[in-house]
Amino acid sequence: MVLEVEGLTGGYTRKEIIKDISFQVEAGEIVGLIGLNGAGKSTTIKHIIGLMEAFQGEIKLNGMTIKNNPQAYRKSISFVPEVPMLYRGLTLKEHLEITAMAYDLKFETVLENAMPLLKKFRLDERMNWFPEDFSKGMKQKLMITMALISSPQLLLIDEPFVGLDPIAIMDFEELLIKEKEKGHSVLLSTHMLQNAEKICDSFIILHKGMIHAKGTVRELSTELDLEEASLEEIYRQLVEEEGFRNDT
Amino acid sequence: MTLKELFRKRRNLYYKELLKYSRYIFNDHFSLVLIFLIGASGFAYSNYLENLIAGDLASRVILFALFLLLTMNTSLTLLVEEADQVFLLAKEEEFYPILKRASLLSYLQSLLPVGIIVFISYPILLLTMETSFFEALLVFLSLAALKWLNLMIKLYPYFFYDDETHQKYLGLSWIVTMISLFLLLFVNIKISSFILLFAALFVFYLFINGNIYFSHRLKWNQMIQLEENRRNKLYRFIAVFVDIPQVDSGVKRLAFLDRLFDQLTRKYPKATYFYSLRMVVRNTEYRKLIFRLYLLAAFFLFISSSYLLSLLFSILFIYLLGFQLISLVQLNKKLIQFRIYPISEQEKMDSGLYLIHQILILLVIIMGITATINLEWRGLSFFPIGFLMAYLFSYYYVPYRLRTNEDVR
Repeated sequence: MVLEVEGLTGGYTRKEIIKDISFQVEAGEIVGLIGLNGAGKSTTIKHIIGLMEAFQGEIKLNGMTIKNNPQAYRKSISFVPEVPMLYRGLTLKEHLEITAMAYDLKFETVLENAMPLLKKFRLDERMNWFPEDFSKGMKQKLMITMALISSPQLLLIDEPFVGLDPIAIMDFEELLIKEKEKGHSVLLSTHMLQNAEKICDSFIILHKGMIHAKGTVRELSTELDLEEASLEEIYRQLVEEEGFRNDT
Repeated sequence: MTLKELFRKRRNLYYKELLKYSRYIFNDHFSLVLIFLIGASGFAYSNYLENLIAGDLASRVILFALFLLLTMNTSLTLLVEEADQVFLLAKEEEFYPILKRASLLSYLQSLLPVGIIVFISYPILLLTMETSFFEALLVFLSLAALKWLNLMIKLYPYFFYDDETHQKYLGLSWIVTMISLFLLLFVNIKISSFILLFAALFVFYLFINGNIYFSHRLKWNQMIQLEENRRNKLYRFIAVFVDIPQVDSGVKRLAFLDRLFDQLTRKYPKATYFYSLRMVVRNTEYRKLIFRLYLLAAFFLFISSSYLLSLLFSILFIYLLGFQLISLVQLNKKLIQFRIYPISEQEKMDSGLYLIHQILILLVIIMGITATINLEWRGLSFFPIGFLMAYLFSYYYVPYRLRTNEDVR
């Protein structure tokens, strides 16, 4: 097992945003975190990264918690945020250099890992540009590249498909499958259910800060008494029948 | 709510914000240093005045340059916001009186530094031009008149898109201001001041009655952009003393420094240092700040003939520059990427201190060289003293300062 979240309750100062969240992500598994706006997806991810501190519960990554081994914990994770977070005043090449430095990797190794991705995303000709000047999609591609070059055990992605052109989406899906084949795990939050269904092994459906349902598409269909439903149909059922729409 | 009430509310909030930040600017140590600096400057100035002779031209040239900078720099605090171009367009006519009022208020506020400078420079006027008090008052009024005329030029882009014409007017205002100041300081105070006052009053009359500009529509996007530039300038100054989220500085690539950056990073291969080193040089505000202080320090030590005063000032410069760089350590701690990366808090601190130390060492070298050129062998003492101060400041004072700030929070 890679990621184990147990009884996670957390939020901002005293306000609980997520409550009693428990789930696991196995090695070589891609798990989709689904939910309406404000359901608690990003908050869950922020707790796992360590940007927020839980009120209650525990998060373990390969048996480590961020409290007892912060460096090793963080070295095992990469994060792709919803809004690209880039350094002002650093070129694309320098972004790779700083990532290498932060993860104690040789720059040559990082560059070797990065070049195929940069070529795929058509960013290889822009090594000396400031990514701050890139379009949103290009920034997102760079964030994905930087997340993958450290070869993380767990890849956390918040809304990965937003801003990507259709070819980039296909490329990105292929990359995630490759990560899975390497035995790495992925937890991604998204609204794009069709894309998620193609690549995710299982799903966690959040609603109002709590897990409403979790499992594979088949398991969720059975739970909701739907026959061979797609993820989109399952979600529509939740919205219309289970009262998600009325709860917003 | 009326438009008038809206802008009154914005002004009150703006003053509250300035008051809040002024607490951080005028903190304990910085205030002490500022008082010391004022005292030392006063002492140096009085020494300078003692050696002034009647008819001295050099001092008037300095006043000319000072008055030129003073009168050409006028900012207009309008407090418009980006969303106003969506929500307030229908209220444009109602906005004209608010714009007039804001212009007048900004103008009146800008007269305070003019008054202070004229008051301080009065001894020079008295000694070199034998000006009476009345003539000194005329000098003040002339500068006020020039400021008003230049403010009117500043309003041009609020009503017109024609940048070429605006630049022409700006160029013209520079020439007119220089000619006026020349006439004022080197020809005849009374005649030049009366001409200026008459011109300013005439333009004032036209402005208040809406004969200048107000027959044209406002260019909201330009107006908002100029207001944003003004705010950014102010926030960048405040950001030297305290973290504020509103700051947005520009960056320059400066590719010719890449090799130097690589060499320095090889010596200290830490991610936080990698970033801060490049950021401090490429970021316009930091770069300007450091360069300005290097230049000021070198200039002062080059002209100062007093060893003790020079030494004291050099220590002050180390403090002044170092103090403004403390934010580098805080930046390392707050940058979200560094909170995600596997970087320890200690590394963030150490990298910041290391960089501050490097920047201060360079300052010491510059000051040492200029002091040695000016004071000969005595100037050599600036090196060991400066290095020691730089070290103590970086590795003792900065951590102490950060700890104290944490405790206060």
